[in-house]
Amino acid sequence: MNIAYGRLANTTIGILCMIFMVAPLVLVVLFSFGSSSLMTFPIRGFTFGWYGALMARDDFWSALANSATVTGAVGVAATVIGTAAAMVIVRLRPRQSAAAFFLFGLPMMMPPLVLALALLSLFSVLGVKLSLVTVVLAHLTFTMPFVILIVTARLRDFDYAVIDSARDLGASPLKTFLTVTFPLIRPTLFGAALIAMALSLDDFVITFFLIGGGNTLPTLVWGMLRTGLDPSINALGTLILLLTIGSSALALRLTRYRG
Amino acid sequence: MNAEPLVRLQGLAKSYGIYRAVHPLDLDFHEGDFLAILGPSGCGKTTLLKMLGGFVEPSEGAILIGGRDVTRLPPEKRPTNMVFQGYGLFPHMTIRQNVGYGLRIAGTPRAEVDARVRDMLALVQMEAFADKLPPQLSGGQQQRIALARALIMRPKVLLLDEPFAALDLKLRQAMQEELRRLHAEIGGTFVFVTHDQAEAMLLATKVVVMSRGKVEQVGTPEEIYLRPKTHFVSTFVGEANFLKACRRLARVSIEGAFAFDDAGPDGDVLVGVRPEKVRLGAAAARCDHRFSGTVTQRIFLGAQVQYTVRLQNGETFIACLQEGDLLPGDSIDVGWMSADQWVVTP
Repeated sequence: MNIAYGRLANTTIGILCMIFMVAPLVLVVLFSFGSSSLMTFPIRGFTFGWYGALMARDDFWSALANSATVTGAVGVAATVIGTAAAMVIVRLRPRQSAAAFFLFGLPMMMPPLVLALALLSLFSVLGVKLSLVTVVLAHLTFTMPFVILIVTARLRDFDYAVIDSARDLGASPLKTFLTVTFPLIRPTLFGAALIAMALSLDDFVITFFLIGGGNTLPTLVWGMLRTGLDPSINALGTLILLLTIGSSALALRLTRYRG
Repeated sequence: MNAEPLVRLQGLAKSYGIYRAVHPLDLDFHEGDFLAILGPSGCGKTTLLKMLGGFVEPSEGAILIGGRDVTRLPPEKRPTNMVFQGYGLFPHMTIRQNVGYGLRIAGTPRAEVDARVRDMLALVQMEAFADKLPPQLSGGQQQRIALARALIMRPKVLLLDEPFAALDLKLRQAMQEELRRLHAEIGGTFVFVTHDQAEAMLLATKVVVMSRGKVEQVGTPEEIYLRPKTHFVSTFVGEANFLKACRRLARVSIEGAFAFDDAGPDGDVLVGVRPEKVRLGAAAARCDHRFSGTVTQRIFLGAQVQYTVRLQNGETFIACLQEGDLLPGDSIDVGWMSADQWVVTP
């Protein structure tokens, strides 16, 4: 009896926790389709109107374009640089690689606000004008550690005899990378890129400090909130949610080791 | 054997910091040789093989293949191909693509690649698996593919790193036979690394015995077994009985027993005899060297009987006979022929 009660209690607590975590997301999605401009229950009608209102705004399109630019650039750059770093790290001695992990991982562990302030001071000392470029550079600092972690984990169980074999059979180092190494780690690289992009896409704090002028989608949400609570914010939130969840889910699928 | 050697190693050595993995060595071998590099783990044999393949850069010395200096060439520019210990098959390519990889990289016309892959798969009896992926194959099958993938390049020297280490006994014997057949069928020069002296004896035409980074002896399996030059080779390649002796002025004498001529520096030496060369009882009477002794142990091993005999001078000898009905406690004559003994320094 006691065991049965214990299990029931566990299940109940688990379900309550899930509701607590998921409910706000569900609310955002629900209200984005509700016809009332007040976000209250019961939700009366169903409408795509808030999405229409969102699409009608010029600042939405420019924010979307900025977000796409930043996310795309971060995805590519973080993956290329992070992969190169991972290839070096796996060749280091254990102590050196632990130290390298710690150094590369620092920005990931730092509070975003501190990181943002630090980068802002750095750019102003260097006299770099704030722009999307500074946002991309800033995003690289905290997305690259994830790429390095993921790619290093994959390379650790990589069978290096295949690389030696390819060289032995006449392939140059570049040809070996293109025909053997890259095809074998490609799913991992796509996964790592998607995770970097998901992190970049929904960053607010660092972008807010470093963008100078203009908006990305998260800073647009902030701007819209300041002018009034409009359900088209929920439409925007839903869009960001879909993009982030979609890319993360795809990333998880791709990075899972396929024996 | 007087022909120009195919491979010539001159003072080849590898150091890691102050640690010498391979001491400077000179070694020649010829077209058609089946060479075994034999030694316990950590003796430098794999390092030596990897220097031949271009995967470890020598610290000193030179490697000449067919008269050409390849010491500083990367693996892809060498006329060698290697079968790796873990096989190193490309898991994302079919067996056909794996075997054809080297030819495709070299830009060989497609029709020729296809034809040669087909021939090679037939040679290793793996035609039926052409469209499978490596992880779908068993260990022995993967080994055949790794062999085929290297052999299709028609290397001047085929290198094999502990080729049978990962296989169980039955499969290992089958693959050893297979490798012997391939060498007989297509010729070429094979070099393999092993820690198994029986495998070296079985396959090789020439054996290089290594210990602690140094070459102990180079010779045919017969020379290595019957005329070991060092104490290490004596014990690593088979069982050996030893008698303490002393050499002075090119004459070796065993106290209270016998003496014979043997050139070499003065000092303590050991006289070695293989257990199966030891004669007991009446057969000992016709031997060049004789001791009397007492049987202390008799072990029946099926094909032969192994006796442990304590000699009159207190030393212990092992003798392996085809048959015998001696019992522990029996007094017996022990003897062997001069031709069956050798002298090493302890």
